Amino acid sequence: MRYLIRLGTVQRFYHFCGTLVPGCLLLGVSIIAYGVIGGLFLAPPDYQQGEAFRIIYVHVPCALLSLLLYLALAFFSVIFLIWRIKVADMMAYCIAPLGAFFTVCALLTGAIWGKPMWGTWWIWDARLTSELILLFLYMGYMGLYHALPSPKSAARASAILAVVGVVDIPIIHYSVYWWNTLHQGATLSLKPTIESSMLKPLLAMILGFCFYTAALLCIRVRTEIVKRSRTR
Amino acid sequence: MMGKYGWFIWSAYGLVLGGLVGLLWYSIREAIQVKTKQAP
Repeated sequence: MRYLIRLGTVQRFYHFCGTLVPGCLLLGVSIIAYGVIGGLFLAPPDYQQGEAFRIIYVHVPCALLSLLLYLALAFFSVIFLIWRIKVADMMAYCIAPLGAFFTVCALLTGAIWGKPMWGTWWIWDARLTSELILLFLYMGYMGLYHALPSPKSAARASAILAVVGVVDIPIIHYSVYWWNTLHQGATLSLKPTIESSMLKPLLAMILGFCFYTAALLCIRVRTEIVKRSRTR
Repeated sequence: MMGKYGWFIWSAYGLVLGGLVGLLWYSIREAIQVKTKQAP
């Protein structure tokens, strides 16, 4: 606990992030490379969807990261609201654009997958609509952060929005069970039904995306620390 | 390659992987710009 409190100081966190960047980036790029090769060339085609199922290897990691990053955004917002830790606010601020990127990618790759499989790019399905609301939450967070003139009130207001918006996460996850949707059920579970030769590249892509995002986040947080230290 | 779904598959991969590379490039460029900028 004492280590975590010490890590909360801006200087220590700046150096901590710096040490993480090369390892996370290297791991991320190599695991993603394995996942892309496995997903595009090594995994067999699906018996129903044929080759089109290969979009799963980019769609699922993006969708999963859009949810995980929002949870992280809400987590750091809670920490900021309770303990007023500056680093937590910076983390939340840097997570938001990354989460928005993955949400856009999840929606677009879903549309690209939906056209050949469902015959339509978009449908007002519960899963798709709740994911679109997640994008609006990310955009709302970023918009609110820049809209208010006082940085302190902007950080506070957007943190409250992030915490309130977390209600959308279980809705996205359980939407395929609660409503009769066109979207298929959860791809990953504790006992996945997906064949192991198809599952391995998917897990690799998810892991690779996580490392890559961690590296991006560290770079962005370091930049934000330098920016804020100059404007202080 | 990839049969009749090739365009869909490659565009999905291109979008995501291209976006990831773009994000990294933008983040590094911003980090260099901020570091090299003189303090006010």
